[in-house]
Amino acid sequence: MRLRSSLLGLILFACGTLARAEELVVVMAAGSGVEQLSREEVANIFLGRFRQLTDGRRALPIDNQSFKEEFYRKLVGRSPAEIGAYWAQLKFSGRTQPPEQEDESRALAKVAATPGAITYLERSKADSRVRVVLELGH
Amino acid sequence: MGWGPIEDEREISGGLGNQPPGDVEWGRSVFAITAVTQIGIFMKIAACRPKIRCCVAALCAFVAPAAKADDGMLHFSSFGTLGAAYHRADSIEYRRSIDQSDGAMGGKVNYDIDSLIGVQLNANFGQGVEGVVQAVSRQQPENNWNPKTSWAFLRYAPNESWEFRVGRVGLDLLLFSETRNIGYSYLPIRPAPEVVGLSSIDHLDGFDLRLRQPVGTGIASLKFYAGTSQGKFYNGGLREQAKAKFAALVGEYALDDLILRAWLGSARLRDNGALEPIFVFLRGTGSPYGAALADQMQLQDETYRYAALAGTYNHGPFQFQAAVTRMGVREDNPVLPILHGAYFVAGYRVGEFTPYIAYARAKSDRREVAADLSGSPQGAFLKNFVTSLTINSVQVDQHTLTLGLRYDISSGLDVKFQLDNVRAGRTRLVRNLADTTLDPRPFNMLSVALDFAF
Repeated sequence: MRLRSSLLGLILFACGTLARAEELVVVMAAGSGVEQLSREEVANIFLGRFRQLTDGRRALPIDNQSFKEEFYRKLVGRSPAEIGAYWAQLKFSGRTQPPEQEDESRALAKVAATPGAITYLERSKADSRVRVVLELGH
Repeated sequence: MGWGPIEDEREISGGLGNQPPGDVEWGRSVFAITAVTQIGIFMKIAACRPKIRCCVAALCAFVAPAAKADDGMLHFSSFGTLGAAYHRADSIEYRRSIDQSDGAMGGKVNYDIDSLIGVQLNANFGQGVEGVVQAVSRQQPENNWNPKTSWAFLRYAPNESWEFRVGRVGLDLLLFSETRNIGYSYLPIRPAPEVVGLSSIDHLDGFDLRLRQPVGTGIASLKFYAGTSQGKFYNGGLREQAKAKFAALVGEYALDDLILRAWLGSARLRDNGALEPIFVFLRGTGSPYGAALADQMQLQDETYRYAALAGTYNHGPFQFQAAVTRMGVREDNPVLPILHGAYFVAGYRVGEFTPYIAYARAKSDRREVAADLSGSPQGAFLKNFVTSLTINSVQVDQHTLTLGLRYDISSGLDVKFQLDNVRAGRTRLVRNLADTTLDPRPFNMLSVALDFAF
C-alpha cells in the first residue's frame, strides 16, 4: 500500500515537472512587424539597458509573474534576488523602472493590443494574437 | 498646489490594475493620499534649501496636473537598512563614511553607522518626462538623523538613446556612489568604505546628459555631467567641504554578463572649505613663511582630478566587481594628496545564500610642505603646526579584508553577516581616540544588517 502511494506520488510529481517543463517563449503582437529578436536584444529590453526595437519604436517589457523566475534564469542566469538587487540599483539611482508586472492573461492581452509590448509565456499559451520572437528552450 | 479631493474615478489609476472593483476607489484614495503626503514631507525637507525648494516646486507644478491625467502615474518606493556592528579594539573608532559624526567604538554594539531609511517618489508625466525625489534619513555630520534630499530632478528621455536630467542628481563618481545607501542592491554591508566613504559628496546641483547606442551585441553609453557641490563632514567637529564645480565623462559598455565603466572628471574648488581659518591664521602671522605655506596649501581655484575604471561580471551563480581609482590635485599640494584606491567583491550564490569575499585598499601619496620653510625657527614652527593640524589628518592608508554571507529572505528583503579585518594606518575613517597621533591597530569587526527595498 505504501509502495503504491509512493509510486502514485512519484508519477504525479513527474507529471507536474513535465507540465512545468514546457518551453518558454518570448512573444510580441502578431502585427508588431517584429519577426525575431536575439537573446541579447531581449535581455537589453528586460534589463532596461536599451528598450528600443530595430525599427526605432520603444519596447514595453511586461513581466509575466507566473514565469518570472524561470524567465530570468533562462535568459541571463540570475536568481529573483539578483534581479531584485539589480533593479534596486537602477530604480533608486533614478535611472529607469523595472518592467510592468502582470498576471499571464493580462500580459498576453496587453501584448496583443500594444505593438511595442513584449512578454513571455509557455508556448501552448501563445495564441494567434501574438508572434513568437525568441524561444528560450525547456 | 492643485491637490484637491479625487473627483475623477480614472485619476491616478496606475498601479491599481488588478484590484476588485469594490477596492479600487479605496485603493486610489489611499494611493493619492500617500503620494500627496510624501510630497508634503519632501517639501518640508526641502523647505530650508533654496535650490532644492525650486526643484521640488517645479516637480510639484508638473505633478499636480499630471496626477489628474489618465496616463499620469505616481510611484512611491522605500529602502532601508537596520545594522549592528561590534569590535573589541579599545578606544578605536570606525566610521564607514567621513560624514558620520559617531563611529563604532570598541566594546560597544553600534547601530548607527549602517542603519538608514529612505523614500523615493517617481512621477511619470508621459512623453518621456519623469520627476524623481529621494530623501534619506541616516546619521548626519550634524550629529542628528534629519532626512536630507538625495536627489530631486526632472528626467527627459525623448527616446532610448538620449536622456537628460536636471536638478539635484547623484554624483556618479564610482560604481557604488549613486547607490551607497541602497544596501539591498549590493553584496557587502559596506561597499568599499576605503574608497567610497572618503567622499561626503553624493549629489550635484546641475545636470547630466547621456547617450546610449547598441554597439555590436552590447550597449555603449557616454554620459556628461556638470554641476556644483557642497557638503559637510565630521572631523572632531562639523566641517565644510570646499565648494566645487564638477564636470566629468562616464563611459560604459554592457555586454551580456560583463559591464565595463570608466570615469574621467575634475572638480574646480571654489573656496578653501574647512581650511579657511588656518589660511587666515597663517597669513595673519605677518611672516613670509606663513604666507608661503598658505599659498602652497591653497585649495581655492585648485582643480581636483579623478579617474576610475571598474568592471562587473555576473555569470550564473558567480558575481565579481572590481575597480581602481586615482584622485587628487596637483602634485605639490600636500592638503589633497593623490589618493589611490582599489577594491573587489566576489560572491557565489547557492540557493538563497551568497557567501562573498571583498578586499578594499586606499593609500595616499604623502606630500610635505616645501623644505626651505624649515630654514628658520619660525618657518619650522609653522611647518610643524600645519603638518600636525592638516597634512597628517588628510592622509589615507587603510585596507580591509571582508568575509560575509548574504541570505535573501524574500523579494526585497535580505540579511547579511560580515566579518571585517581592518588594517589602518593614517586614515580619516578609523581613529585611535586615546591618542590621535598614533595609528590605529588592526582589529576585527562583526556586523549584521537587514536590508529592504520595496
